[in-house]
Amino acid sequence: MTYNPDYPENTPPPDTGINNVRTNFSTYATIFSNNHVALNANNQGKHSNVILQQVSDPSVEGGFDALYSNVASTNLGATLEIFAKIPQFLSLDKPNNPEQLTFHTVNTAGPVYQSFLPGGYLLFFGQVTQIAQVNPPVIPIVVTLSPVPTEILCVIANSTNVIGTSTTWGQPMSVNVINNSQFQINPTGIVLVNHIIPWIAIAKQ
Amino acid sequence: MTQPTDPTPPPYNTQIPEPDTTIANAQTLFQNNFERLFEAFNTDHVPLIDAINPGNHNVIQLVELPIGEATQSQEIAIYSKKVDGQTDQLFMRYQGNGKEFQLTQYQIYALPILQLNGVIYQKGYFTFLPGGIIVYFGQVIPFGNPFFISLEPAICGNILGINLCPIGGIGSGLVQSNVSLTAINGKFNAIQLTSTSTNANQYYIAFGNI
Repeated sequence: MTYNPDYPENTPPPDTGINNVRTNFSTYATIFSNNHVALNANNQGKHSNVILQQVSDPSVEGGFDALYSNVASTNLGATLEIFAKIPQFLSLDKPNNPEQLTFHTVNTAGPVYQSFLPGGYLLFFGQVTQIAQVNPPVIPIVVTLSPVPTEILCVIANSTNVIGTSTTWGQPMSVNVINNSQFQINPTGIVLVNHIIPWIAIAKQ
Repeated sequence: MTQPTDPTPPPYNTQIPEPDTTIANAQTLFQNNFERLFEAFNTDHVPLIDAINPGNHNVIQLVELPIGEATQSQEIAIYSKKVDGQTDQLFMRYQGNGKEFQLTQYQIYALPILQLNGVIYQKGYFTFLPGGIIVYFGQVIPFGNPFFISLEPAICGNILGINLCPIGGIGSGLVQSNVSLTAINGKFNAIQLTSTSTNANQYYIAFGNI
């Protein structure tokens, strides 16, 4: 059975086309139950889930926002993500680009944890442990990010305090980006064994 | 003389067929309703006559609500609402008419790379977190001490946190910094950065709300 918006047809007369009318009512109810609470059920018409089929960026002019899915360009290739588009309210030199709300993967297992920020940014965070007690010169610690982003934009390693089993004060840190997937934490001065150094990084997807 | 055609089709009619109407007499009315139903369903949805996924959504257009949507148990609502000085933003409310929070904030756009006499001194970015939080981040290459880290767009009346990290190899971490905030009309537009070393490159992250 398929829905036909042209039913009932002019010919044959509707009394013989009654099955077509019934087909339309039945088919509509079945289709409506996709993504919606079914007709005649409690809360009928509300959404039970939303499957977003890929579309191109919509035009948003007026009092509404749009949520949709479209392909995003990432260092890993094109991936399907959820976007929001809001009405432009700034001057036109600040373009109202679609706001990418999701990234298709997260890492909750660590040790390099990863989530995402709106706008196509990846948020990485974690902690590293200084494994060697070294009197200067100290040994840098290299962190490798996964998934590999396009560009590392910002890295913060705890530069004022070090959390660990020792009661000694934390040591200052500096960081430098090696490439698009790695950065280096450079403790300054003496960093004791088992000192933990928290870090956070933001990258372009 | 031909009759002018009405370009506007009849609207969907919830009152057909009437009890004393025969199917034959209601044929046109039935047909019109099926057509209007088909057209209306096409908004936001894969069409009813699609062979594969009828009923799925291709977009969700959320019309501005004057007040937040209420929820019952086992429901989560997502909707759009006007934000003062901005436009419609997305909001969520948890089940049982729980707490509403703002899902999107402001309007994300790419910031220009800031330069002085052709020398880059700031690469800045901004985004948001649920709850209406603005996140500023990036890299500065100061040309003075103190140096002002631009917070564009300058829309935050509160700066909730700032973190800095020196950029460079071993030894660069000895740079120590102090920060203070500058505001115009109650909106913070810069972080004043004073360091023990002039021209010390640093990464920065700052959180604020409007």
